[in-house]
Amino acid sequence: MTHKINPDAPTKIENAAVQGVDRRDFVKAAAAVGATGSIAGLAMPVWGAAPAGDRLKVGLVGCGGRGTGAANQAINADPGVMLWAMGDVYEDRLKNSYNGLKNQHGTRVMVDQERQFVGFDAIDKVLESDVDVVILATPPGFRPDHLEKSVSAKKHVFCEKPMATDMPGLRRVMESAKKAKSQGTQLMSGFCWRYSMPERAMYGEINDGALGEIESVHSTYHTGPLGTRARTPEMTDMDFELRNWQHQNWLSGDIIVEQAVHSVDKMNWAMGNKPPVKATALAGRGLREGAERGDIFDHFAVIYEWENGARGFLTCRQVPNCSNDNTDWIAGSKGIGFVNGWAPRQSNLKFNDGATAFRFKGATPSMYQTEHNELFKAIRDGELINDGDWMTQSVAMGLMGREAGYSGRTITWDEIMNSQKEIVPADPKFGPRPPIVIPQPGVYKFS
Amino acid sequence: MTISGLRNTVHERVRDGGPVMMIMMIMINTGAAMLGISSAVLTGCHKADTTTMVNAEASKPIAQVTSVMADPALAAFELPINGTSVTLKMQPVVPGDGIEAFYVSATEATWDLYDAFIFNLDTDAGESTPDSDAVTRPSKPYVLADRGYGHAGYALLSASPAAVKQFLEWLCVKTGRTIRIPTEAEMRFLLANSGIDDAESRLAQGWFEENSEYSTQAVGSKPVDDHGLHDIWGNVSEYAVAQDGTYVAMGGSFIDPVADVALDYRKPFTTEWNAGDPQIPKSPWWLASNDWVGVRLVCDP
Repeated sequence: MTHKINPDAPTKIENAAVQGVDRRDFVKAAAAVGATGSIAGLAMPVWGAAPAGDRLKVGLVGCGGRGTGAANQAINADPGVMLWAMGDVYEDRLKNSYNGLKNQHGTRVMVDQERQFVGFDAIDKVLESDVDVVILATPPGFRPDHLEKSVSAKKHVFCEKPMATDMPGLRRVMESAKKAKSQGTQLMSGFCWRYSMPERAMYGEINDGALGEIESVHSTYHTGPLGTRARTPEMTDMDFELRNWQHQNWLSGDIIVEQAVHSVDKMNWAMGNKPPVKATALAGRGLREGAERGDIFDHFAVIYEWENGARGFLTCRQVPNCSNDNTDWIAGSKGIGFVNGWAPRQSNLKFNDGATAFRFKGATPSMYQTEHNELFKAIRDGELINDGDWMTQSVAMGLMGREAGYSGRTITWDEIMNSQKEIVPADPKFGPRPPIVIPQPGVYKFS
Repeated sequence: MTISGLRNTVHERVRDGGPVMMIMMIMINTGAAMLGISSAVLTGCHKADTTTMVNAEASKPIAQVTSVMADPALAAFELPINGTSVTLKMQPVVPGDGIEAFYVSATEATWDLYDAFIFNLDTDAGESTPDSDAVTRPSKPYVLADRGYGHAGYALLSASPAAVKQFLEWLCVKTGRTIRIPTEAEMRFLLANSGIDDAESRLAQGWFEENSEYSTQAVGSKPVDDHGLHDIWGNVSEYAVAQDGTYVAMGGSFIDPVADVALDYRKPFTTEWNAGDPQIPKSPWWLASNDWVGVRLVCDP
């Protein structure tokens, strides 16, 4: 397939007109590419499939390090991709991001001043700027609103994890995911390990029964703390919380939902994307001193239980000067798997007699780049990617563990799925915020 | 008893609170010259205790001085890093042949020390202070920098050259000495004269693909070499400063088959070592795609 894109090429609409077709018509995925056996290919009509040669305009919403990185990967994924619009609540973040991308990609970054949007309403303006694809990479508390708007605007979406910080928000994400599927717009999650070659091979083997029936999984995310920003006189409460978003539950979902949710997701993957029936957790904060460190905990230990009696153990910690670990240990009736995403050469499956059942030997391209390569290929080929079911289930498992940890009581799957507690303000704005209340197990009320 | 074995004994006794001053007479195998090794434990002023022995070998070519490890004027000493629980064991090395004598840490630098640096553990409550702010510190790692291989007592990994330079500055503030990493010539000397010259001895005294279980191992868990150094071959490959000021990694690591590791193992720093950092700008401090390069600290007399 030859791409003949350059910045001076006609826009996609003009190009489509030349070809005598309206690219925005529905295209039958199966008819377009004869997709069979593809994990991405659903037998769905795909909206807005773009033949090679068409320009694809990308909007970035949330211009931090991850969002900027994702925009970079989008540009690298396909020669027709242009970064077209950017949005952030802060001009300094947007400018840094823009300058970094512009320096790297030159004319592929076509974000004129009038398409650089600053403020809480930047999402609306990016969506109105005639983009084809949006990257949602703000702090997660905003994600349900941003995804809902993006899907309603019929945009293809790269949706960073986690997708919500409370269940009312996650239910909106579930609805958006269904809508994306029915209208045929792409929805790719930022659960990057699902796009990592060693993990795909390992979990593929596990899902195919290489270890027999899975009886228990222990997943860890033990690491150091994330950075903080000191309060300055000009900061309102909201500024202070946004600048320290990882440490605010409403913005991040706490460490189990913001970071260790990767491990929760791999546990979900190992269990065949089947939800647990209940969760019990021990959790707290021993070393989170100071206002910058917000209301979140610094460790969780969660016991998930499945209907068939299988158990999953998730431990996560953000404390400096401690042993780190971010691995998965998966025990089945036939053997044991060990996955270290940071050092794939350690990963292996072993039978109970000690014999090696599987060891990944292939190449390990950047999983972050693989995600965007597959997303834009799907857009080109008219195949549909929709990560909605398992991604929302993984986030729900994270929220279940968090709420079990905060409350100290066992939470069932039905309880978490029906949780009504809203922690994200309906209309976020700069100014005062309510005082922080740090959850206390045994006192905190789950609802 | 070999020299390294003898030196080990000295260090054991020092660590155990034994005599802090021992003078030993060692017959070296190149002749009848006698070396005095002083093992004073030094605090405060880090000037080595002196003896009056003559270094008869200092003028010999490198290849012929493998058994001369210590200048009589230089003695091993312990270098505490103020504000941390870490004390470095510094071994004297006298290369000759145009390379000045220097001290080298017996082990690769560990997370115990690097955590104190990156997490401000050397200051009250980990908060920044004017003093601690005198040196720029790396941001918190996006990657799981230790990869789960081990933390306390394990070699630090994945620090970029920029981060190492800040680390060295911080160590200078903490110790009042010029702490640095070896030059390439110094590192080459350390490797060439380690007394570990074939695959069999490298496996006996270092960690490579064949014996590492795909993980770094605790520093100092294999026997020392002829300079009294652990893991100069293998475990983590170690930075050295090339003539043009860039960093190169030498000595091989736990991921390398031992057959691939020799004196010509020389991997110049490249930004490919951070290709896996998904953020833009990529971290200047961490290497998301390199889990095998570490640091060995040296200082001058």
